[in-house]
Amino acid sequence: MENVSKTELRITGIEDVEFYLHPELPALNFNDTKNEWTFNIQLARHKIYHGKKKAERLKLDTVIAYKSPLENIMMASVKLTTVMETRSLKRNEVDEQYWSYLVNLSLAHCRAVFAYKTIGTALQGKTMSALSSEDTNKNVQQKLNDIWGRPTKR
Amino acid sequence: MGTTNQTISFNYNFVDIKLLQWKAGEEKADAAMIWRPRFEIAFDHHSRSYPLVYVDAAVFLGISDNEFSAMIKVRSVFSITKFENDAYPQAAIAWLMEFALSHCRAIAVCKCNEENLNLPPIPYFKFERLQELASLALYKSSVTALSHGGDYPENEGSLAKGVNRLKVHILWFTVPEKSNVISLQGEEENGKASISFNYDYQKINEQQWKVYLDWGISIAGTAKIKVRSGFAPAYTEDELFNETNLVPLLEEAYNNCMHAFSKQCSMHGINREGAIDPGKDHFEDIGKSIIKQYFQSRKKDDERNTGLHAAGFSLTVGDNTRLVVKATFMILDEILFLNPAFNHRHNQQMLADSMVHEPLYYTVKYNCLEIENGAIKLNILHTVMFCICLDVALQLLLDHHADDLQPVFAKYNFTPLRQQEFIKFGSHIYKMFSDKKDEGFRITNLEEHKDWTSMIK
Repeated sequence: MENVSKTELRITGIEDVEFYLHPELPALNFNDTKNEWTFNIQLARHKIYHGKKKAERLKLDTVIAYKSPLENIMMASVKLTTVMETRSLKRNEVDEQYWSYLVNLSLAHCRAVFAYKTIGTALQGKTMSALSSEDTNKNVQQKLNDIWGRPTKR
Repeated sequence: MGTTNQTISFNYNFVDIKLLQWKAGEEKADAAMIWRPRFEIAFDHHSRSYPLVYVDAAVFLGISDNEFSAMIKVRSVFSITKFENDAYPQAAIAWLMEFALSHCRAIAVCKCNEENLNLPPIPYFKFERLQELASLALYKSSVTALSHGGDYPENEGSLAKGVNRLKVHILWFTVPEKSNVISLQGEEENGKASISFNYDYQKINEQQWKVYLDWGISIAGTAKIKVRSGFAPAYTEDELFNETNLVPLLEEAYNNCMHAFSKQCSMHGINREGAIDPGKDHFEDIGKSIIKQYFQSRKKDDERNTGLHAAGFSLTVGDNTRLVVKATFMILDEILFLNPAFNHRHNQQMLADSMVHEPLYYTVKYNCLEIENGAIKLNILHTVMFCICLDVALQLLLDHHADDLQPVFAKYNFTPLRQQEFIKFGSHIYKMFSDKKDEGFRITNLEEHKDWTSMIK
């Protein structure tokens, strides 16, 4: 977290918030214990300038979904983009902890939207668990590290 | 469960996220306005194998805490690794605060989208800043403790026209194994249920009152609780102190207490079923005794002491004032109701001898804790009561009694530094309130020095 603070992170917005709720949710006979959370993330880096100073805009698209794998039904999902700016980052500053932090931050946004939008539905009170370090290692860091190697458009 | 490694390692998980409050006025945000966060941290150590941490994050968009164009308050509930002696590292709490702020940010965006508002996003707060805020926060032992909050009753029946409900507060809940109450249960048989009642009121004007009904339920050897239900009836005096109108309020207040008792027992893993029904006659008898007491004595006292209900002193919002108010009642709650190292009944009597009767104590406490919502104005009576409570807390903190309270202080994040600040700013506020001779009036109750360190046991 200290590393993150040193990169002067600024959150400039949460964009394109989308919420999906299965229209027949109340009638679905889902086995609660089998349902699972899934998530996906995509990162885009944009080089930007504040005056002559180099900076970066990071756009983290995050999706979380609550699914019934047996019936292959998506009961609800949240998609949003967390937009952040930092000073220009050096490669060695972007370590595992840094990525894990950004992903957790963006997932927290999704969790909150999910909690807010499901009030009064059968999914009220369902909250996606915290990511285990295994989740982070397998599904998040490698992917993000790969992306980091290929900066996107200015 | 997630883990984090900074200077400490701990597990946490997300349990619930709930929007508590959202206000966005028509006044537009301008560049001078910034988002200012405030936090209330509460722990529940009994609800499950992992302690629960309630982080109530309120963020205000404005030029100051009192002048804001938008605010959001969200409760985030986490489960967390149990730490030794319930002493939770500030870094862990700061980490949870970061999530709580993210929840506020995301829900605020949803609200703005729904209401077509264009507000700046709640910014990222540096971890150092959150650690600083975590170090300043006074942790609560439960989500209902030391809070102005309270909840509206879950099971609302119909009330007579002109009567509004105020929030319900669980004043305290204790379990004998955890707080071996010295004096109250000595002669009681295990399993024997008893019910207690007290009340207080504030007359706003001839046709507007605030009535506080405090019911207590105790099952010897099991648990006991005291719950305050508030009502704001638009009644004349004769309408309020009238059996027909009073008994339904008494019944609802009792039901709130019973409901809270069952819920707390369940949360503490205590198996008990069924309600304790005192019977309709009991409510009618209590109603009659309130009416009799009011017209025979309390009304005359009120008329004699109208000066005490005049405007007293004001406390403005600030970290130091909040600390003084909360720490005062945290210490008083311990010595009067919660901490097994103290003789609760004796201490309640000592305070009552100085006019701080139990129901009045609760009224003053919750009026003062309203400081979470902004500046507070106390009447003279409540000012004096608060000063007495502050005096007790300050004296105890400088005395050997403080040793008995240190484990509790650790739990509340009332660190030695915060204790010093409390003594410094608390003494300043006490002096400011008690020494008014230069302003042409005196508060005689505060002129006589009382040695609370020898009176409190």
